[in-house]
Amino acid sequence: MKTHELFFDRGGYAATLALLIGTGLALVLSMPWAGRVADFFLFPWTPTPVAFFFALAALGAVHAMNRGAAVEPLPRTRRRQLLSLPLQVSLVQALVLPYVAICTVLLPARHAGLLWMAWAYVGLVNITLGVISFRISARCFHRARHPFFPLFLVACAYNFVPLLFEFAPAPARTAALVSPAAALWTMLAGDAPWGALLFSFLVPFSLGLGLFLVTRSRVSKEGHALR
Amino acid sequence: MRFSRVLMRTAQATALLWLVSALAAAASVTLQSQFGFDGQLIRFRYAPVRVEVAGLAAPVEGSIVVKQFVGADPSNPSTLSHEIARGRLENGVYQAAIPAYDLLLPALVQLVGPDGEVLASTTESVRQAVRGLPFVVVAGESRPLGGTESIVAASELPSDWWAYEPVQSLWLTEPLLDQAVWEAVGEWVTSGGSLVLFSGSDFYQWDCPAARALLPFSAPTLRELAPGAFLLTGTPRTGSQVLLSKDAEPLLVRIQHGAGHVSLVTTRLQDVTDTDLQRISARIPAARRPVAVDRLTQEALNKTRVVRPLYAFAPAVVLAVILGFVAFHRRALRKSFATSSALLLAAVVVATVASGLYVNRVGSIAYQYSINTIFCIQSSFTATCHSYGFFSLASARVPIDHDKRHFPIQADVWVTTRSQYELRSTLTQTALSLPARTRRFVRTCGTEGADWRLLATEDDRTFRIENPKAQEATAALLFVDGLFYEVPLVDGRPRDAFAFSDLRHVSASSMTEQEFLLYTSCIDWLATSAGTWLLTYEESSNVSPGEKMPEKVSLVRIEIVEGERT
Repeated sequence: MKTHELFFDRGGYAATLALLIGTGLALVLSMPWAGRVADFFLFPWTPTPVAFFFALAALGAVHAMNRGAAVEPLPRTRRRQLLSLPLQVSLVQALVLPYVAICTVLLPARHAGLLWMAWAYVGLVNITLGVISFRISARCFHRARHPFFPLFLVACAYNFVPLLFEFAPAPARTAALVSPAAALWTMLAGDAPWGALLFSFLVPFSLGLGLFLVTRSRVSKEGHALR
Repeated sequence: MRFSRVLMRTAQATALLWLVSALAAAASVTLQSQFGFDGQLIRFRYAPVRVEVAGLAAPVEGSIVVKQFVGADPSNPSTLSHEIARGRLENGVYQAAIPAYDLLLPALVQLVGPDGEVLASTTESVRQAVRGLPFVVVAGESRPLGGTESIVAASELPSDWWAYEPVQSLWLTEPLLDQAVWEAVGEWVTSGGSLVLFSGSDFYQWDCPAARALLPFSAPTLRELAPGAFLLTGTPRTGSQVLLSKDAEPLLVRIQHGAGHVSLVTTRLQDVTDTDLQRISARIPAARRPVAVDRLTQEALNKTRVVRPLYAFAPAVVLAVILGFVAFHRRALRKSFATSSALLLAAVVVATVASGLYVNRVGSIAYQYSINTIFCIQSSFTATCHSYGFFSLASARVPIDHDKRHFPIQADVWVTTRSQYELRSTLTQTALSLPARTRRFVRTCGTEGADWRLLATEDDRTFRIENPKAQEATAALLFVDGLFYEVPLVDGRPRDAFAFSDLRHVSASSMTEQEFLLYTSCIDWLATSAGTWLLTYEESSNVSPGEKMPEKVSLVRIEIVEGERT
């Protein structure tokens, strides 16, 4: 299997293009079009970097899960596919770098670092989602079932179930940051403590790394068993 | 052990003594307040407030706060507070001019102690006394003027010129002895007020430099017409007009001062017949308020350029990235994926660095815009208005620093007073809330002098401009005999000295944008003025990082200075 096919077959090209168009649209709409103050009253629009990052997180998740779900039947190809997942996500993250650079005008200069932090966080979450998607899809492949519903449920659970902790008492409320949506919101608000930011990064990092290592060893074992 | 017990007892005794003395001092304290002129005022205009503190056994450290309750919901009103005095307070009268807002609910006046405890309070319900239109104020003895006038003692007149905002015309029928009030009346006249002076034999009682500066006569003298009946005469000043005469003697003489008028009745009120009083009353012009500056600020804020990068830049970069990716995809299909990837990444790095450099040059988008238009009229007296306009894309809190008791007033009248229009004034600072995507306009008034000085020869043929602070001006006009002339600028400043022949006459259609702004800010009253005036316009703006978000601050300074004869 060629690298090009690995990256862009089975919806990869469309997912990447959709991400570039979608996030580009969010960025363009985030910029204030008003040339003078009076123009803000003709068509009220508040510039916000949040829209761009939520679009990036949502479309990035779709792309990552699409790439993870493109499971090949051959174990050797499947291993290569798993190893390329971080690269595929990284390529997309690299493509939106100019967007992030432009997005920095939407925040005061001292908060520009937060945008780069959010960009890195989205990349980390998408790699994790790619690996999760790969695992679920591989299991569905063995059982000859379509992975769409399990993937959809897992993505929803990852994003929304931790939000229930927002209703919990103060110390347990930090657990809501497991949700990428809550973590991104907190990060871009600019007043999150360093501990909360570190926790936000640690969750996808440890989850992604753990799943990646376990999945890699399982794929290797499948390869050995076939030989 | 014994020592500590003694120490404890001493501390308890001291605390008790403090408590008792505080209670004793506070128990009998009373506050009496009066809003407006004889209790009459107009909503959304300044109103004088007098608070009398009595019964204090000893001076206290504290403050006097006036609270107004506004909002569409009377059960949950928003509080607008003004601190009119702070520090060591004694028994006596404390005065200020505060903006009067809704006043449907009674206002609360509190004497607050050093720890925030309320030592005394009183409420003032002025709902029934609110007037819809400016009214005549008679200071002193009154005679029927239509029955709608407000009558006060001359000693009760406020000493801040902006407190006279609800006044249609001020009639001084008894001697005014307070120099500070004379100054305030002069400043009010300069800003557009209308003053009626009764003189006759009373003249010597109120004669003072400030009063003389307002008279339509230079070298005023009293002439006895009949035993006990005196007439004030003198050399008429340029621009003075005799409006009414009686027995071939001038009865009513008027002169324009700045944007306002002084009408001098040459006799005492007692010597004027009812018929003459009606004739005089019919010829008194109504006061004008310096509202042109608010209009200028509103227009200037609306026209303020938004600080942001070129809008086309973002779509162009997005398009470039998408096209670059499509090109990469097509190339990678036919040629090496690694080389194509390397080329793509190199292009992305170039685009990112270029975007970053451009964005750094432009800076962040300014979320908050504020404009301060300073409008200064200077003749014998000086009246200055600071008109502020604010706009913010996100909700913010705006502090305005001002001189003691120079409280800002809302310049745009709200359709409904919403509770989020919060305002809290201390003696020298007012903080107001600015909801997201909302414009707010406020105005403060003061008496700080102009930076420019115009000296003209008697024949108005040669002029000299003094500019001790070396201020710059984007435009300067000279107003002579009802016509505007462009003042030649050298290095952004009007030339120090020039002859009348050097000046170029300009009309509204041939003026530059700044000159036209100057013209519109004063044409409604300057056109009728005698005298020679210098008009200067200066503007500057800068973008600052702000406390929370980037802010664009613009400053416009308009000075209208009457020429002095050399």
